[in-house]
Amino acid sequence: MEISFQDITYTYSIGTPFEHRALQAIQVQFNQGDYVAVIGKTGSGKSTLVQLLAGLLLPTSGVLQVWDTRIHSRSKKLGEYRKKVGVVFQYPEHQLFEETVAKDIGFGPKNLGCDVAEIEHRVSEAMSWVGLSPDLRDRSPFELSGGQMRRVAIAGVLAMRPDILILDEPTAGLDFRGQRDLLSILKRFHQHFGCTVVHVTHNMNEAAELAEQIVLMSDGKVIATGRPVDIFRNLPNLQVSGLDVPDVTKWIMSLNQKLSTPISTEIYELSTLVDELIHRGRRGS
Amino acid sequence: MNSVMIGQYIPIDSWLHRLDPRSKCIFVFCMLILIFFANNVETYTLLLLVGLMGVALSRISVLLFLRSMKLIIWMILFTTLFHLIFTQSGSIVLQTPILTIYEEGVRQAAIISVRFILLMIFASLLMFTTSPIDLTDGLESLLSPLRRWRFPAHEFAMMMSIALRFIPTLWAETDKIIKAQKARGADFESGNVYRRVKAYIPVLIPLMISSFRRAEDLATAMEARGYAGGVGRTKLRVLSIRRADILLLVCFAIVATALFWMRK
Repeated sequence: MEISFQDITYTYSIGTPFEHRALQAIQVQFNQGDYVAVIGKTGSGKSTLVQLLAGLLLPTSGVLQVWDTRIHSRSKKLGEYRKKVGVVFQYPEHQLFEETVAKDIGFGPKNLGCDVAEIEHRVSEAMSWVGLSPDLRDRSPFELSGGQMRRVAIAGVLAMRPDILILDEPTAGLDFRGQRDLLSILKRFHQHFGCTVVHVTHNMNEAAELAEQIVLMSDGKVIATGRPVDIFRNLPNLQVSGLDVPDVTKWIMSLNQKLSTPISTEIYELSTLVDELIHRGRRGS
Repeated sequence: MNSVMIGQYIPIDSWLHRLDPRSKCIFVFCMLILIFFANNVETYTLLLLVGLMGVALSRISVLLFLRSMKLIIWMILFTTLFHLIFTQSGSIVLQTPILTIYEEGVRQAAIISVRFILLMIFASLLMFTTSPIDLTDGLESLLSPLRRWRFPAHEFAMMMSIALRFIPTLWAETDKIIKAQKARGADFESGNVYRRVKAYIPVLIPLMISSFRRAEDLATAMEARGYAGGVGRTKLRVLSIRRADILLLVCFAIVATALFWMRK
């Protein structure tokens, strides 16, 4: 339990008519190295939760404990802490600013204090992680396509090699192909570096497929947390939060109505499901 | 964003909120002029009382008015200091080896400070109680007589409403970009002035790009919905002067008469 939210509340615009309580008494723990998905509808507090974790907002009350750092309402000097956390915001391509792709990706490592050779190395590495061809290095990021710009922006965060990687709706606005590519990049990156990934999404399919732990949020509260199986088994919880089970689960459930021996609803990956079906076909059941 | 912006509309319901924007604009504009005619304790007290009555009628927390004063506190302090040091007439109030303060200096400093505060109270009253849409509708209506001299009243009002409409959007965008660059290790808080200004380049460039993108999108969206300027355009909500508006202007007339009678 290296990351724990202890009774955290967050209120926007305190003391004005616009006061809005975004988070209420949040109690949740993440294991180091886990892939965590935070799911919930728009306005459920997911983005606020991850901004607290990123050290970009300070809790109104409560304590956020990350390893040996304690973040509370009067915390100061979070600069050092932020260097360990990478955040990919929604539509991250809107934050590109440098003249060349390489310079933009190198902005993070440069701020971390890496020397020129190290920056160079990390930029090339990050570009290959996100599948950008090396000859795009000296192009202006603004000449690229939307999908490529998104990759540049994500590479800029990956190049910092964060201990905690936060992604806020990283697949929003991408076509299906682009979504699949990005998810597989994230999965491989997570497995390779073993960093903690916190992935905010309202897409159940993404959460089910990638996550080891899911945090279900609604109305600024954590409704449930646990393995995907535990979350998606509890339909009432999902419905209260205005969410649904993943497409795969829906499909298996409808197929199960016609089968004598049901298929496990714990399968979330398409390839696993295909294997299972082939296996059954061979057995002739 | 944890702070209410200066001059932001506060959407509650009050007598002042319901007034016609045109009468509010005229009232505040005339009040701002009237402030410069006040010249003794009685007249300033009168204006302050009117201002405080306005604050009470707006049903907006006094705290928000005080917060908007933060904007001018430095201006007040600076001019006060300036007058205390440089105005040298009247009897001596305080004498120290480095500085002599004269009565006239104290008087001038007090007058200027009160004027600033009054200006801010009346301007805030208008901005807090009038939604941007009402404000521009009102301005368009007030400026429309100038069309005779080819003044583009509608375009002017439209430009203003678009600018006002996008302030919160740009503010939210700035906030988001600052956070994103902070998360990439950008440091906005340390170093000398030059370094700090330079640190904002990664914020300003994306902000500029997104503003241009927004402007273009908005122009396309407006054209797609058939916008072609103010000619022949009708309004869904037609402004109307009610009894309360006339009452407000009568109030102004009384205050103005009283002020001219009380001033030296």
